[in-house]
Amino acid sequence: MIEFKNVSKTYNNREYVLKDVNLRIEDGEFVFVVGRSGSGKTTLTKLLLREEKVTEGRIIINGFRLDKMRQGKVPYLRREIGMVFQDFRLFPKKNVYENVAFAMEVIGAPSSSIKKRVPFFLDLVGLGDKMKSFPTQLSGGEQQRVALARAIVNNPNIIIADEPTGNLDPQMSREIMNLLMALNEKLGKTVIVVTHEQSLVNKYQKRVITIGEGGIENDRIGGMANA
Amino acid sequence: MRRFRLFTFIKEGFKGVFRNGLMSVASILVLFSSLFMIGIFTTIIKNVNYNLDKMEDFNELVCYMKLDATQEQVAKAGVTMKNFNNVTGVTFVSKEEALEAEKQKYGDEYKQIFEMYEKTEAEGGKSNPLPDAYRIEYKSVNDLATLEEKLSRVEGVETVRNSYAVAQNIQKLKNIITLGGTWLMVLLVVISVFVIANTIKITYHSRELEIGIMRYIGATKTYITMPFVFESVIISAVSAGLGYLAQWYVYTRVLRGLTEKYDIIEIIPYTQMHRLFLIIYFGAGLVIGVFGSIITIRKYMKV
Repeated sequence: MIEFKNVSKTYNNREYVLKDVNLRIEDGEFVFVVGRSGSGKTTLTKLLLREEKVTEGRIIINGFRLDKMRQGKVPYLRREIGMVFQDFRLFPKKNVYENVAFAMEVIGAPSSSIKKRVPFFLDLVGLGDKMKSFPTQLSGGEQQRVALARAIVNNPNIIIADEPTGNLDPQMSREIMNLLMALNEKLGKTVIVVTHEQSLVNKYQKRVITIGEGGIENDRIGGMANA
Repeated sequence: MRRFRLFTFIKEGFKGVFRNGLMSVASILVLFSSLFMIGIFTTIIKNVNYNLDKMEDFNELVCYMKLDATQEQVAKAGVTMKNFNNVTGVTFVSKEEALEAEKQKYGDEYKQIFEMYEKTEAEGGKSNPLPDAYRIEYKSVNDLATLEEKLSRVEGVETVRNSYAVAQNIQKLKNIITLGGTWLMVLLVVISVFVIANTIKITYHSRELEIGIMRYIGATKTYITMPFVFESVIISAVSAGLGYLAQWYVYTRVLRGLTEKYDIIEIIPYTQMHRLFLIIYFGAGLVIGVFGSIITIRKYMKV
């Protein structure tokens, strides 16, 4: 469960980027976060990852109080969240298998577990036959699927995808969205997709939170988003 | 720290060294030079002090007794002098011995004069003009002025001749060498820390993407920073090893050769110095390496 209570954020005590935001996302929900450029979507994502601290209010994610969290605990919060980026952020010198395995090595997973789980999740995203390939040998959609496998290999409850289809053509975008949808429906993951693509949002008819003017402009299920 | 993680950190440390090959070589050379300079300064300071200490051993004060002092007064003065602090030895030189010594020194040149002192007054000779004296050996030059003052007040003492100015100059020289050497060493340590910090900064920037990803997937600060620390430890260890070898060569070959050529200089045996060199090269090297990397990493690891 993710909860924002009267959350405000300013940078250098200037204008509010987010002001008095109240938000609750239940476990297993699928949510689109939309908004114009500069509306505060990125700040919202940074607050969720505790990359930024709140100025006022409190954020709770899976029992973690982010507003009171010590720096040393942040890595453990981030292990609860699988992150997918628009630019994939894969290691160019590691192959597909190594890119995914790295996420497990970082948290100190035993090698036996790594050997079992990595092929399983690569199969799940449809890249079981490309484990030895390097990112530069893959299409954009395939690279994003590797990033998705890396995001879920440690079994996080929450997946945040920041513009996951921003660099992909419509066909590949559909594939990635279908995968995210499957993770939500079949594995019960909470999925938050931050996007500005209105067509994508309308197609899936899920909960849409619209950020604008420093706060939540709109929060509704299905239908048009005013992005 | 689990063993496999330790291996990972060491492996990543080596990767960092090779990834920034040129910068690593430059760092090794600079750190090696700094450590070697520190080693050389230590060698100079220790050996100069060692030789100055030996010179100090030859220092002495000479107390000349009054010409009319009785034998009893002279004997009593010797006992009093022996009991003073800082006095390590008292040697009596009788007026006859003093004359004999002068004769040995200048006898051929001034034969007639010395012959005059050997005759009695009836024979037209003169009495020995030299006084009895005590040679005083002392422990430290620090209290020399006090000792001189005390000796001059002993009954029967006419005057005290000292080499205080020489001793004081020796002490000053020792202080200058020690202080100057220490400041130079501090300066070299600071320079070395900055060189290492700079190498780690470059490594950090070359791995920025990787570190960013590591943060997002929940890597702890230790997991991210340890490879940098190991990288600087590797650089420091290589520099320290090279420095130690160079130091050994200079000490056992070059310095030995010099002392054989100019035998007024004596150097401390290497066996007495090697432990200190190990501490300087590997201890200081590792401290510089770890400190240099930590100050850089701390700056970049705030988020």
